[in-house]
Amino acid sequence: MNDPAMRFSEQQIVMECGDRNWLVGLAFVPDRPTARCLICNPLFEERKTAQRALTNLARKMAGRGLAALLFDYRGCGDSGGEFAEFAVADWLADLRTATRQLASLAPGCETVYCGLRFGATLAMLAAAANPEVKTCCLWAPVVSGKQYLFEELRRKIMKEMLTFGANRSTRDELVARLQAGETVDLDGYALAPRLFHDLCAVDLASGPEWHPETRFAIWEIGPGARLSRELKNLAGRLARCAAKDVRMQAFWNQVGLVDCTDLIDATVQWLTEGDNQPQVTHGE
Amino acid sequence: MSADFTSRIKAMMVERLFMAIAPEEIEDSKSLVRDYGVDSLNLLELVVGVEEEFGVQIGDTEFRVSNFETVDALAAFITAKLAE
Repeated sequence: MNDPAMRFSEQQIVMECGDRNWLVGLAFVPDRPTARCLICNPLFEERKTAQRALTNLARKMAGRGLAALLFDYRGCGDSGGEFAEFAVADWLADLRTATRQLASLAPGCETVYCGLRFGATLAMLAAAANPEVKTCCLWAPVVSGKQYLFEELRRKIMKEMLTFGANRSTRDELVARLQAGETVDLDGYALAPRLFHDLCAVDLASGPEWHPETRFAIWEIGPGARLSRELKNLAGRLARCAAKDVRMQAFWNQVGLVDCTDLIDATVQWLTEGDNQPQVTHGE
Repeated sequence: MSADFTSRIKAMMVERLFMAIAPEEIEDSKSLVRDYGVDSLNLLELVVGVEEEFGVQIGDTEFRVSNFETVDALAAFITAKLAE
């Protein structure tokens, strides 16, 4: 439904990649956009559980004059290809493809990247390579790809415990299989060795370098009421960064729908009005 | 098991899992999965909560339903971990 503040169109977009695959996205474009925002999905099951929140974010953005494009990487969601074929470098290329598409939908506007979890990580990596990206809005970015992967493997083991009464594997065994060149099932997603190695190599704490004029906002989202040390350290590496902690459920990991209205409103307000917005303290 | 110890577990559960009940309403012997809605998605949150609250490390081979079945079982498990 259109925000009463501004009308916008919603349309499905199909973007060709150079390898005979395609990206599918949803574009939310106001009549006279003031900026254009690429929204980067999280990976694995997080993408599905976060879909509603990110769609609502896109709609809220469009209602406030920001064109938004929410899309699936190759091998994910509605986009072409099989998950096992792709890794981080491919998805960074997908961001570039989607960025060009967004520029054609909303020409003459400043580019913003938003992302959730590993989508936020991809957004940061892509922004470092693209000086035209002036603003990044990041929900719970993954700082260490290795730690993130190990948490996902741990979650897999716990599911095995609940399903079978005991876990059938350990993280060390799963990692050994990946290092030996095997593909491991992760919630139905084929985690191939190439993606495994790419994820392990991601560490925002040690690189890359970002343009000093790029503006960042980082939201820590979870049960704690304080910013984690790793996000504090990441924020410290950025010349212009507003770091915020939000006490709310990690909605990308919940079975039921979590109300993200406060977070969405605070994010859009930060994007449209700068840093003078109230602290979000939503929690249950 | 001291009441204070189980109280800490319950308080941690309510905070980390955003449970809509007060810690003292959680019964020690009721199933965390069947009666309190702990599922595989928020079980990781519970495990991390135990590790951070009590300063223990839970190994992959220690993920057993029996260790996380009830507050009593979890308290006994944590007590054993602390004694290692």
